[in-house]
Amino acid sequence: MTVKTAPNRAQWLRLLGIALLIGALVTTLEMLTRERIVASQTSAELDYLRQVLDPDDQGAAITFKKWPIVSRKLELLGLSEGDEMHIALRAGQPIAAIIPSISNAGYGGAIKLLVGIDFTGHIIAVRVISHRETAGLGDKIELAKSDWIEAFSKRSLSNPDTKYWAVEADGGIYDQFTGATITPRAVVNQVAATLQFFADERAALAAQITSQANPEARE
Amino acid sequence: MNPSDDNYSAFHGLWRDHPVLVQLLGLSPLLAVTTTLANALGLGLVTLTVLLGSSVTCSLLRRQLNGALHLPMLLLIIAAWVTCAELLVRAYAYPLAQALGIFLPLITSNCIVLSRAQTIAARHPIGTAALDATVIGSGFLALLLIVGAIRELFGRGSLFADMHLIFGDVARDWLWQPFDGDYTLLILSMPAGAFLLLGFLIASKNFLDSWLLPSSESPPEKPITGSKRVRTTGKIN
Repeated sequence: MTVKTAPNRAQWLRLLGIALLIGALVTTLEMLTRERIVASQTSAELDYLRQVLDPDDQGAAITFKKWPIVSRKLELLGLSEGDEMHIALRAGQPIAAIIPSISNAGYGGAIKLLVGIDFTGHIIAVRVISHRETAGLGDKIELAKSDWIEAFSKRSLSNPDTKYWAVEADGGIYDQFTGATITPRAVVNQVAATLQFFADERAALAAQITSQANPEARE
Repeated sequence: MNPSDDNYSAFHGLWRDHPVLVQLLGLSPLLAVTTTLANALGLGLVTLTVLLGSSVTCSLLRRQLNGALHLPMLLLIIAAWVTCAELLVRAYAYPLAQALGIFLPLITSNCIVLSRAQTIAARHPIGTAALDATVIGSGFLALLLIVGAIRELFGRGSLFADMHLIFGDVARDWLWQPFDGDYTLLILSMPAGAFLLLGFLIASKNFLDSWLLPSSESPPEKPITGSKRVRTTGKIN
């Protein structure tokens, strides 16, 4: 049964043989599936971005472009160096910015949000990407658990006025959940910060995107 | 555990020597991914495929798989099957791969797969190995489904959520939500609840065993030679 002697050269060669054979087979399968996996990944990424766009803006007419975030604003969004946002374009015209935003003011660590804002500064949709808030209380920020997160749709920095961009407990207009104020407060404040970021950057952003998308327009 | 023992029957893997309920193997994927029936089904099917594939391969190569280096060889074969399965799941069911996350590649370290490869597949002809792998894999899949169904029903108040990860868009409206998410046993959606549930399932099995087989009719108490460590719960002798 159990062999206690040290492996001899023939056994090492057998192991090597099996390793090479398996390596060749796995490599072949990897090459055969690579194209499909990349396609699946791309389509998953597109679905990820489309979840904060208008349901009418879902076709192939909408393209996405990665866009850097100025580094002095990263802290405001809770992001780190190298994180990017996406710009959704229709026929070369920017229609929305899709901005990742992380709040560290939650009850159980980082709450990762994805915020879609159109170029008039109105929120299209906000989605919680990941969080570790208390199950049964704070997790109502997930769309799967409650439609609370839909309260942000069509809101902007002037609707409601900035001073009402808070949960009811803080004098704002957004509901908190029974037994959990910290979680919705973290989300509301982070969404407000994201809107503020976009308001500051919008003009420059729109100019840059248009000039980049239509280089011939400058000639 | 060994076909040459008169104790062995391939079908013991379904109940008497169940890999989880008796040997307590494969617990980490069991506890981690069974929050929904869909995840349980996904992981169970991939594990069954890997188990069958690696058992057949080990059986075919069994003349080479002896000596001091048989363990690394077995692990290589299992890891190859897991890698192939992962590539195929990522290519054809990418959202399922995302839902299962790290537990897909971690099937390599599922002791059920290694123990079957070592004790059965590497020593027996292909028919025995394939039957054993199918039975053990089905037993594991069945338990995953039971745990997944109980956890989803009472932990989330739903059944058949996310089935489109496996069956595609036709399964999107299979979701059955008998009660509101506010009336659920939250602990069941956490690993601690899964652990408690597993404990109750093992206790139920042992109870059924002692009830169905009163001590007078119980199998002769002969020690299971050389394989004590394969039984972790129930009668260990």
